[in-house]
Amino acid sequence: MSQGRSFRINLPTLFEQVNARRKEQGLASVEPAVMAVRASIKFAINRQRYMDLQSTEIDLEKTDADALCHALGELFNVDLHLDGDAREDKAAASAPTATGAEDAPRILPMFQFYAAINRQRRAKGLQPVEPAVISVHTGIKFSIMRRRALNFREDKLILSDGDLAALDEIVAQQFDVVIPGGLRSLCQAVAEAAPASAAPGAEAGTDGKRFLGRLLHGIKTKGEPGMHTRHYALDINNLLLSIITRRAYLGHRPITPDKVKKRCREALSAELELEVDLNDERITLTPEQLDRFANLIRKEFEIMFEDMGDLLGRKTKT
Amino acid sequence: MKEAPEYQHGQAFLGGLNHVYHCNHYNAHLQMTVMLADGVEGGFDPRRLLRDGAAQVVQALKTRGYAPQDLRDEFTWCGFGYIKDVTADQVELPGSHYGQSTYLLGVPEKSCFFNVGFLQGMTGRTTSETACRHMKARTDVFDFGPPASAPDNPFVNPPPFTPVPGRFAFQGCEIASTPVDEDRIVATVATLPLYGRPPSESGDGLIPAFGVVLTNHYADYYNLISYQTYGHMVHAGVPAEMAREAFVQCGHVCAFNTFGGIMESPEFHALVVPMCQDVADWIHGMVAVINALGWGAWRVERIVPGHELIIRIYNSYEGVGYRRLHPAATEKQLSFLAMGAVRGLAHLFWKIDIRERPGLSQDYYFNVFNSHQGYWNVEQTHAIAAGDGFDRIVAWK
Repeated sequence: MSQGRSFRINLPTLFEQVNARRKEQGLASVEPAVMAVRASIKFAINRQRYMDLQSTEIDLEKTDADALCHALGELFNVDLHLDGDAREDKAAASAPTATGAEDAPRILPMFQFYAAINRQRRAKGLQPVEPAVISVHTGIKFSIMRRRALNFREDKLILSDGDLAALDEIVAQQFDVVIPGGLRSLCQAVAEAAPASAAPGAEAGTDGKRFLGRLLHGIKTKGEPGMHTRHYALDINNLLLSIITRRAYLGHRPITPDKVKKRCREALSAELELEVDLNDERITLTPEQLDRFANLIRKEFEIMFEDMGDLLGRKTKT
Repeated sequence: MKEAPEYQHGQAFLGGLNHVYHCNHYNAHLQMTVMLADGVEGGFDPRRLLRDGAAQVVQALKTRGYAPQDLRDEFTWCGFGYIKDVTADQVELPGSHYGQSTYLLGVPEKSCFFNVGFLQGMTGRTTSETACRHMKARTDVFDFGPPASAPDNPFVNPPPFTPVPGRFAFQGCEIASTPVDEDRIVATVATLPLYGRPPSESGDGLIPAFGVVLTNHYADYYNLISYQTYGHMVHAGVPAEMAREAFVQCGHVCAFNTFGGIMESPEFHALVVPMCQDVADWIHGMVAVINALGWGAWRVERIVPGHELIIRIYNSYEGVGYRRLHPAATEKQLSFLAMGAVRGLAHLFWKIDIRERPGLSQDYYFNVFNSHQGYWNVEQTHAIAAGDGFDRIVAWK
């Protein structure tokens, strides 16, 4: 698994590119040393392995390069991609070997993991299991089976095919259910899940390939010429009502609609750097923003739902 | 019953062993957590540990002079069910806490390990479970084989009991008074019929109470299986905080269901609620009830409603039990049940509000805890296991 291409990455250049993209977005530059430390921590959490990002150059396997790009993207709100075309091979430190979509690392959104397990348990007439228990039991079994630890409390995990096969086994053993199509069916290719990525259509079929290589050739942001980005409109009153209702159902203390609005506005501003007026009837978000907003709502209001359509009791419309 | 229960140091004793009340949820989750260690390394078999731990406890009772009938009586009185002879080589448990009241989240298997160990210790014969309710059997059946070797005595140290200070009479206590009369509550709870009745008294050996099914279990059994499993997990490379959290969750599910069930009960509303003026009083009331469970002497150090709850435990069954089994620990966070229980207590007041009697159920539990968000943090700062004079649990949000 994952003994495909390796890459030699010039870190100062990489950090310069991150800052260049931030500048284009009107964001402040980040000190490279800070970037290195924070990315090291994020990388260590995701990959359970320390990587020294203070040096000038590092050689990375494809999986690790993906994880590094993802960490930088998440931390610094930029869109990093490594291209999968012939040019990247020239930059590889070792001769590339064939790497298909089959063994590309995949991102498993954890809320889908919990939802899928409990959906299957309900279908089987079994009680659902609280996500905290699922994550700890899965984490322990994973550590024992794979001899490395992952934090299953993360919002999402980057996993190899071997990891996913082990998880399928763990789910069957520990929670007495089988996920139709396996957990792989819940995963996104790393490129699809990269923050602020391009339009969904542009990613279709690339299955991780696009993610490789662009690190050496520039950074892509949304709005790239020739790409159409689909937007979704959220009805604010419906959103507020859904959050309040779901909290009430769960026995949480009541929050006024004004407070819900305020907390949504603050979260959108702080986490997505998105200033919206929640006094409008509706707001328009990209799919990426919508997913991240859903995550913010889950955290901020302590509620669980699969996606915005689930929260709002219907599918969102374009 | 061969011996009457005794109460000292904040603990309850029967046959010289500390007994603690715990619910079916705790017993189910603790067993599942131990079983998670399957495969950690060669030679460690969690199912065998679950069985042998029970046999070791029974061996301690036999050493004290318990005869087989004494053990049967205690098995029933403690709420484990009752044993019915089928043949000279077989018994069944028509009433069975582990068979009827516990559960597995994973693939079903014969999982009355405690019963197997108890029966093996009692008879001195190798015992196996041949039918189990978890596998849809009508009842739990156990077959006896050739003689089994007597289990080792696991207790290597005397229990390090310490004097228990008055309710608010310890350095660092930030609470001066409460209208809640703890002595009255403890005395009243002690009169509740929380024991299993045999068939001769129209019972099935189970203790249904407060919406859960209780056992008056052997603290040493819990400590034996918990700390050995935790040690093996960590040794095998499972991060300590992850392994710990699995055990803490057992305490949490126990606290939320049992404490919650108690606080919703008519008995609590008749006895304790009239003494309460605010949420702090409710906590003092619930802690008074806990002090009748045999878990040690709980003392409330600090309450900041919605933000922080600090509990000290003198002679905690986990801390004292750990020291009976092991040398002093080098880590503090070992009172797993207590950590989960304090977190659960905080959740009962500040994640939901149990005073409004929301009506606890498994569905309700899942709905409240259907997300990682909003859990209180919990940390143990002092540990009897590590040589401190008390356990101190801090929960905060």
